[in-house]
Amino acid sequence: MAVDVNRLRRECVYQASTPLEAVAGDLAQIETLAAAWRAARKRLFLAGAIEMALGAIGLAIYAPVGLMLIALGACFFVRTRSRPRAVANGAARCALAKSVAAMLAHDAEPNSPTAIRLAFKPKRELLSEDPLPHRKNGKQRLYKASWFSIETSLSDGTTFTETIDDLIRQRSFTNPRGKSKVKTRTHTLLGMRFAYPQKVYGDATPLAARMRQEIRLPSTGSVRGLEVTARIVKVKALVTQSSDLAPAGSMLALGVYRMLNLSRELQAHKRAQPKAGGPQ
Amino acid sequence: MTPPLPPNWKCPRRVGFLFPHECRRTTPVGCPDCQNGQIDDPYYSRVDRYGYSRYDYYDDAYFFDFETSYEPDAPDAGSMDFTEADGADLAEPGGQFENDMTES
Amino acid sequence: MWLIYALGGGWGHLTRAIALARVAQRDRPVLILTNSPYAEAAAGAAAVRALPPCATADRTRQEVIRAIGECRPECLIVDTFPRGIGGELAGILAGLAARKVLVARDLNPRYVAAARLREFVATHYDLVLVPGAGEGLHMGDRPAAFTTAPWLVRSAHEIPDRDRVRTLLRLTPDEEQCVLVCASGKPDELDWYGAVVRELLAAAPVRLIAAARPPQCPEECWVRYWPAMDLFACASVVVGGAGYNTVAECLAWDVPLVARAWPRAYDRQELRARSAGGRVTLVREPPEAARVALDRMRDHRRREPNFVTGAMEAAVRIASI
Repeated sequence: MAVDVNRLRRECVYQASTPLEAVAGDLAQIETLAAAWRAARKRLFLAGAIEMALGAIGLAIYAPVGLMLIALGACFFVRTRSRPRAVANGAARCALAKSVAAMLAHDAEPNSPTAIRLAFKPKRELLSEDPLPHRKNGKQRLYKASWFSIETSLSDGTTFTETIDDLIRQRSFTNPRGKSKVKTRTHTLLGMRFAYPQKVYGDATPLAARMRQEIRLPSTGSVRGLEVTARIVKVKALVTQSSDLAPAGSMLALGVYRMLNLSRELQAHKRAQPKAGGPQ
Repeated sequence: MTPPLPPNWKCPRRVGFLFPHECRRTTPVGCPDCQNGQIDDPYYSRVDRYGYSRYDYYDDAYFFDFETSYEPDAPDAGSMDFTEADGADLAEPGGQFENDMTES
Repeated sequence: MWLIYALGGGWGHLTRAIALARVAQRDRPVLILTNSPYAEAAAGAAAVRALPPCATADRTRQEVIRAIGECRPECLIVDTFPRGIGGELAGILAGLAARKVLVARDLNPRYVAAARLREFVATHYDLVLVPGAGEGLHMGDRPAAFTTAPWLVRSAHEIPDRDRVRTLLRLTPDEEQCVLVCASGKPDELDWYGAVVRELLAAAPVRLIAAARPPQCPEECWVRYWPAMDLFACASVVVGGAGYNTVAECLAWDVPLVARAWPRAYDRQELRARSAGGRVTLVREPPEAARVALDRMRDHRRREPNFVTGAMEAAVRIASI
């Protein structure tokens, strides 16, 4: 399925419901687009800046020409809008989405229907706003921005869902020299849900505590929650370094599945035990 | 020279990243998992699982720890089959509290 | 699915539950369990499992346990009473697989001590959320407790515009603002609010926001609307109780509150009112309430809503455990 480029331009969103192998193709296409838009924006900005500068000089020599050059320069700037900056600079998000799709491709059917959403300029939801003590005009705002989700079926019958939300802390204040300052820090919440088939894995609930111990993450990540029921495993991790998101996601999934695989083996062990009172 | 494969040959190897499953290839030629048939157990042999170096191995302790408590047929710890008796098992914090369900 | 346990008479627990449910239900099903007689107020705002308010205590306990068993929530959020308002949760929390969250509104410290609630919470709850600074003091220092902004049932952008509010209040063109008497709490307290309205009738435009009209309140002054905080843009002063929602809403709007601290078994209304500072004035009798309200009416500032409900942060915190 071809990428809806118009929606990408307009809303900076890629959203599709398509086989998993097509997702990889779409993301590759978006990566190429993003690189092309980035290069085009650079060229257009440079051209616009040069035209504006020439126009400013031209104004002093011959006003009509100067105005024309300034208008031309403005046109170049306006043309950059059809190549949104959020997408042009969104190579990292593309790469993250590709890595998730690549991880899933090992264990999913190529034509597994997959729902994916990748937002390059997600809406920020204000969670709280409080005064910042000890700072003049100090304010602290906490935002949430949901920018990635994917859901697909794996070949063992598990439905896998992953979501990524940014938690953004923004502090604004006036410094002693009277300048307004804004400081932003972003952490990322990685969430995964595995709706696993009991007939394959049995009930993994008794392994919940061990699963928590088994999960490994990069040093910038920490498990924030794990819930195991007879049908679902849900896990959340906070990652403070965006470059660690891809490995963190894979490591989280591996930690969960290491215990699910054990659960399957324990089931098999149990079935293999001779029943009490049966033939010896 | 590699002997020809029998008709309807299916790869018997285990593949996968998160969990083991059968490989559906009909020839090992060009397979990135078994590297043209060089690797007997591609699932076990993966080296791209970050810190999980022995991903498919569980020592005896895993089985000993869980064998006795792993009873898939028994009601699990999350059983929701509460009865009135569960709720009736109340501590007594003092006669003046927890009597009126509309007080607040 | 998240199940919010919001038992307790009156509006308080229910309103806080609705505030959270409205935010949280964007991402998953949420159900409110309540025995409030005002459960219908949630109709359209959130899904409610309403228990009969007049049922016996034992019957209500049984219904609560049955509801939790049937719902099988992934998360149980208990508003205020860690053991349940009738102690019915004490025997079942340990065996419940769900994540457990306590919303720690203020509680009578004698009850906290008698029921050893701090230990109970430490043993059985995964997260404690304090819905506003000053609440939850009874729980002491707990590392896993997060204080959010108050859980208002509206954020600023959801407030109707001033013209709409004037229409709802049926203000005449020459009435810029009015005294808003907000009658929440118990039905037998309604007469007090009616008496305040009678004291104010001759002196100022007054409206009573209540589920039922007390006899002393003329028909034209009674407005049946929920939530009252939608209407505060046209209130020069609010007369109400000192329960959690009324105080939080008035502070959010920065509208003066003339408050009657009602006696409650668990909620320390007078403490809350005193802790709120100069914007809340405590009164006892209706004539005093009317006199103070008229005095506070002199602050005719036009107020614009500028607040965000703490329920949004709460929902993120709960989803993160």
